[in-house]
Amino acid sequence: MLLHNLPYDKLEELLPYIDTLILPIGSLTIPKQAADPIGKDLQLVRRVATGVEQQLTGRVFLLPEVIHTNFELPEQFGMAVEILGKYLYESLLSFKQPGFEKIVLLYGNEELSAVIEQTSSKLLEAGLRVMVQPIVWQEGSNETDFDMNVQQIVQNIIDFWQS
Amino acid sequence: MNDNNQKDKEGLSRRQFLTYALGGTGAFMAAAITMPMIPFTVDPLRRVGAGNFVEAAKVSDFEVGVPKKVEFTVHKKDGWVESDVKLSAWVLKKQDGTFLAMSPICTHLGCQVNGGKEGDYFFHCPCHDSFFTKDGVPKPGVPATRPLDTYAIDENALKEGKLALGAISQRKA
Ligand code: FES
Repeated sequence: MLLHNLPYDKLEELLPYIDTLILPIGSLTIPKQAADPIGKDLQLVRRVATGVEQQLTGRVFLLPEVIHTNFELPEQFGMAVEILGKYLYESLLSFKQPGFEKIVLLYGNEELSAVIEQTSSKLLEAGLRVMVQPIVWQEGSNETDFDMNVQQIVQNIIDFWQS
Repeated sequence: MNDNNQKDKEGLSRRQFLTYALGGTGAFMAAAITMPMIPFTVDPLRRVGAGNFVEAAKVSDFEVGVPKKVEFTVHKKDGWVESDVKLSAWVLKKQDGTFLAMSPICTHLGCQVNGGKEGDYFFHCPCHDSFFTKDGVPKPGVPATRPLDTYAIDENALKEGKLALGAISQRKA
């Protein structure tokens, strides 16, 4: 379900069936390949998250994406990854009390891997179950590769439920 | 999902939940950039109008009694936005030669069902364990209570050896 599209009374009706939150984490940076648009990673993460949510809609809430920005032009500005990590930890921990015990962190930018893994470990210590899911996207991949990627992530989430 | 977890959530007030949901990622979004997710159109074939069919497969592609998944694309126009929407159907060729084309969307809360299970129940929904027969009828006692929805089938196209699918409709429990 798309959390922000649901009327409040519908939310209460659905809560008993939903135990998993998907949080897409996108990056807004200057692309490494000059030909790529700014925000390519963000678009990819958003598309994959939407594709996954469509297939598992009855058991997941898709949260609005978190966007990390980092530019170097010529001075560096944006958000320190430590702030991203702290924010992720604190906001996700707040979902524990209402009973959302499973969290999927979906991201594409490998530069965020370390902070996302660290946050995941801290959330695990705090009693949440976390699945960290990088999106692997090679240059030259096509729509079929995209669908296979979504399919693989859907299967990983089903395995995560069963583990 | 365990019972305690379900009870906690049932006892959760609307106000509490919104505090968690919006005070969480929402607050952060204000400091970043946000764009809405694109909602999924459940039945684009209905939007293109009754009587519209899209060729999805050839009649010769199917074996009697074995549901097979077909994928097809519908071109959709919503105001000035045009897009291609990918859809799929599980198609069963019955003994009498007729076809049943079923939506892969679970009638409980909308997850995609998987096909190919052995035994009486060919389809399984991974979200809350609903099972369905080859005809899409739910197993008694599972969360889904209605059979899988069906696509309209173009009888004229069938005579030409093509399976063309139209709007989705619900079947009664
Ligand atoms: S969505 Fe299929 S069993 Fe709940």
